[in-house]
Amino acid sequence: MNERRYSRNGEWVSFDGHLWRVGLAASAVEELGEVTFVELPSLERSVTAGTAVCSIEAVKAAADFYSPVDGRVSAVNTRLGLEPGLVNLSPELEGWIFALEDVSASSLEVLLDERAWLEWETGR
Amino acid sequence: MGDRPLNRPWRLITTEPAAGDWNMALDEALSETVRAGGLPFLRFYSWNPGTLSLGRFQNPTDGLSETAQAVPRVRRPTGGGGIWHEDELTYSLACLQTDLNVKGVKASFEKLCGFLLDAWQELGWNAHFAKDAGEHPALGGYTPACFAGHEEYDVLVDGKKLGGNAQRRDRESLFQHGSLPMNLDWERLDALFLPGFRPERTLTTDLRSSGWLGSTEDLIPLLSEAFRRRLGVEWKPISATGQELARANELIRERFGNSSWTESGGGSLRLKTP
Repeated sequence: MNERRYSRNGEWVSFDGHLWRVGLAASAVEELGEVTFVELPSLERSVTAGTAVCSIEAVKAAADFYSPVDGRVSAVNTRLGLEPGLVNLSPELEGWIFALEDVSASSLEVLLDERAWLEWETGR
Repeated sequence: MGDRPLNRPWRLITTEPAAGDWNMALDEALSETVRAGGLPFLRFYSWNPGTLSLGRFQNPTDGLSETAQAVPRVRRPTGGGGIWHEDELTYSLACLQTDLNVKGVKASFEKLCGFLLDAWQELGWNAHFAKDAGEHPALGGYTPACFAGHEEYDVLVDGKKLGGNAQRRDRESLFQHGSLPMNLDWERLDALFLPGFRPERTLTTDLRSSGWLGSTEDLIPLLSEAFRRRLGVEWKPISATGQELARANELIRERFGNSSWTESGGGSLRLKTP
C-alpha cells in the first residue's frame, strides 16, 4: 500500500516501500497555522493509534499530535529541527513527522482512503 | 456576540498573587479536572514575585540576557516566547472542545479572545483583532519575546498589541491563558531580552497607557462579565478543591518548581533563534 490513508482527525500514514511515514493533512495544518516547532518522538518508542506521541507548536497554539496507527517509531524527520515550516510547505510529503515499523494491519483497516477522507472533511 | 449559550456552567476562580510555579501548577491541576470531565473554568490571577515565563519548548537562553538567567523563571504549558509577569492580570481557562460551538484553532481563538475585545470596546477604547486592523506589522513567526510577536488574533488598542494569548490543545480539550500588563516596565524588558528580540514600544501597549485607571482587581468584574456575555455562560464560583491544591503541589515538585525541568523543557527544546 503506498496510497495515503487518513484518520478522521487528519493524521495520515503512507508506505514508501520501507517505512510507514506519518504526518498531518494539509487542511489540519492550515487550521493550526504557521508551525514553529515540532517535538520529535524517541526512536524505538511503541505507539498506538489515537494516542498522543509528540507536540506541534504553531504561532498561537501548541497541539498534541496523535499516531493514526499502531507501530514502533523507526525514524524521525530531523529536517524539521531547522525547518519546522516544512509542515506548512509540504504537509503530505517533506513535512512528514515520524516513520513507523511493525504497523498493525488492524489499525490501518479503519483509516480512510484519500477519497473518503476528502468526503469526510467536506462533510464536517 | 449572539453565540448559542453553552449548556454547562463555568467555574469562575480568582486566586491571590502567587509565585510562577504555583500559578502554572494550579492551572494544570484545574485543567486536569476539566480533561477528566469536570466543569470548564476561567481563572484570574497575578504574580508575586515578578517571574519570567518561558514558552513550552523555548530554549532558556534564546533571545534572553544573562540578567534573564538570574530572575525567577517558570516554564508555561503553552508555546511561544518569554513573558515578564509582574504588574499584570493574567487569565487562564480550560474547557472541552464541545463546550465551544466552534471547530478549529482560529475559530476558538476568535471566540475565546473576543471577551477581551468586548471589554475594551465597552470602555470606549479603539480595540480590534490584528487581522481586522487596517495597518499592522507582518503577522506570524516565532519570537523569543512573546510581546514582540504579532498574530491574527492579537488584541490591538489604538493599533498596539495589548497583552498576549496562547493555547495548548489536545483532541478533546483546550487550555488558553493570556497576560494583560498594567504597566510595561520597559527598562526591565530591555534588561531581560537581547537587542533585536525586544518588544517595540511603538507596537506594544499596556492597560495604563490604554486608559485604565483602576487596579488589576477592578478589571475582573469587567472581564468576567464580558466573557459571560460573549460565550453565553453561567458562573459557578467554585474555588480550587483540596484535591486540586494537592495536585498543584505535586506538579510543583514534578515540573513547574523543578529547575531542571524548567531549563530542559523535559528534554525537547527548539533551536536558538539565529
